[in-house]
Amino acid sequence: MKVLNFMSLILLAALFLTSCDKDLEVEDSPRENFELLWKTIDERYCFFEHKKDSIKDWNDVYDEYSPMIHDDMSQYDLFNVLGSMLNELKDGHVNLVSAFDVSRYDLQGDYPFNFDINVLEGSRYLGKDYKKAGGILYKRLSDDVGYMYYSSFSNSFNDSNLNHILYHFKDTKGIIIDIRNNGGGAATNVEALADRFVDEKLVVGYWQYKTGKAHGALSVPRKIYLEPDIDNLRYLRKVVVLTNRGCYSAANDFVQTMKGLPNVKIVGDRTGGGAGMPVSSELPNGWSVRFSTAPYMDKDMKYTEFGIEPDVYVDMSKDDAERGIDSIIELACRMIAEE
Amino acid sequence: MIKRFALFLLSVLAFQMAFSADEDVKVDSVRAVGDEAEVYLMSNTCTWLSSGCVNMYDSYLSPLLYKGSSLSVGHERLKYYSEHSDKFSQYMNFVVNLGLAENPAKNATMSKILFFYDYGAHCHLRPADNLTIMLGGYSNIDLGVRLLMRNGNNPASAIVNSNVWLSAIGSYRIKAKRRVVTLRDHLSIAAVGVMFSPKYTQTYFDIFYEGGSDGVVKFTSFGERFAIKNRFTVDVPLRRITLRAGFDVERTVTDVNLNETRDTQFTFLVGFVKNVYSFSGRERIPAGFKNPAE
Repeated sequence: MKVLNFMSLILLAALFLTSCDKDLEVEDSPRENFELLWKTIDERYCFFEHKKDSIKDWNDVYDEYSPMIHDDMSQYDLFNVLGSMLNELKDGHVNLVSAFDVSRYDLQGDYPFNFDINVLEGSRYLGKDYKKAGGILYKRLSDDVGYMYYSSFSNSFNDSNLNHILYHFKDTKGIIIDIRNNGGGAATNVEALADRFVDEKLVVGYWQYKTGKAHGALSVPRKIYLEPDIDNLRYLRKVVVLTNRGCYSAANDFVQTMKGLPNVKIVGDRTGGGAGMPVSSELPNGWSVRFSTAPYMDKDMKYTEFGIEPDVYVDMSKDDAERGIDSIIELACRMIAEE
Repeated sequence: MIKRFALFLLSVLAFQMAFSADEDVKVDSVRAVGDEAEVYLMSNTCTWLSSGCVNMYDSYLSPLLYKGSSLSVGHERLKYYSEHSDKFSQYMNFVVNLGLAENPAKNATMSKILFFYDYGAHCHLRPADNLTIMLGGYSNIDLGVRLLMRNGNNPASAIVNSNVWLSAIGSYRIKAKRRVVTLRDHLSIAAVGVMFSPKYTQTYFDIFYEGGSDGVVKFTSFGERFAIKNRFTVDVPLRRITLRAGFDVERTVTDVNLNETRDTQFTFLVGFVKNVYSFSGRERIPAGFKNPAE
């Protein structure tokens, strides 16, 4: 009898465990996946207020896409519908990730590429005798001009790498930092690179994060400072940063940071944007979703989600490219030489 | 991985049991040598291992409920405050808890590692010869983390809290042939405390590198943090050891800074009990005790 009572106690405890979280049990159906995705974005995405004039109202998006959801639709069809719904946000940081595809917003559109790797690797620029420190390629293009190409903020470098690069450029008039087609990476690398070009502590931007489920619930903007790296070599002469539409996320952040510095000019095309730190969530079917929750602003408290205008706008000329000349690098070289 | 770790811990416990058996006999025999009129108050300790199932939910990491396995190892001690009074005892409990759980689609794993330390006191009531009721409380420090590594910028959620718990232990002794079996139930409920939680979508980068730490430590009571634990155990003296077996049910629900967490565990427990008489500092060592170090 006592054994029976004991077993009953265990059974009751087990029942307690299994019945506690029924409200969190979500069925893996197209409808439930759609509803959870829409709700997650509705409550956590940070740019609804900022983009209210340039994207559809999120409730209208629900009304538009909800009828497309059917219980008998394939996972591929569901992915296409949900991916299209997310692209309504016009945000390269918003992706749906499944085992068979990743949805993404086309940032490039019909804009010119303004970058040709074949031209860059030609003998006029990097050629075969460039140097490489960490993830950065560098070379002196002339006695007066140093050139660095940094293709991704995911590529690491350390203090020693930067010290060697800047020492190599020690008697130049200026240097070019080419971050065209840099799709972003680690935000920590932004500060590690930018603090070599500043002589005093400066406010270079602001950032916020979602504090509630309402679309406009954002924290009070917090200042982002850039402090000089006084323990390492710094370069305080002319710096030209080359940009195009492929500069996204951390690269956009780097441009935003550098644009606040007195000795820096931004040259090329508008950046691609992506000024929101993305986080991840997931759906009942196992697909993960990435979206922005913490927006960055420039030093004038303007969002840079849709990109940053260069100080000097220039496109790559097709004729120049055919002759192995990069019009944007050439302009940057002239700007440095003129000083 | 978790099974291998369980086997390792079981081996350690078995090793400890083998080497502690003689010590138990000595303590008992020493007590028998003492003056019949004098009562020596002992400490009751138990080193245990538990394993079972866990449900984990952390809205900072995922909107989905994760289900999986839990493994804990811990050490519990009940000790009288004074060698002259059997009315009040101190309670100490240290636990390392590991959890591994999968999402409903079984393509992502949430892991949890948690260290918690409880320290408190109980008042002893003895309404009948074979029944002891202990009422009291304890405070805890929990330090741990939940990890969901496939998340990009939000792969971790820290578990940091300290609470005051209300605690009640009922201990009932049953004489069965030549041994005394002890049934024990320990119920605790967190009353008030403080806990760490980011503000909704706030990143840890903001908290620790950008100075956004204001408002991330919150006072909690039943509304913000509901936590209840119940442990039912049976102590069975065997030939040279006392075995403790039972089960734990734990439920913690938090809702702070719009981040909600739920942890539910149901685990079976097995451990080895030792009743020891310890001396420390300038405590008087009663006659009849011999110290091998002297």
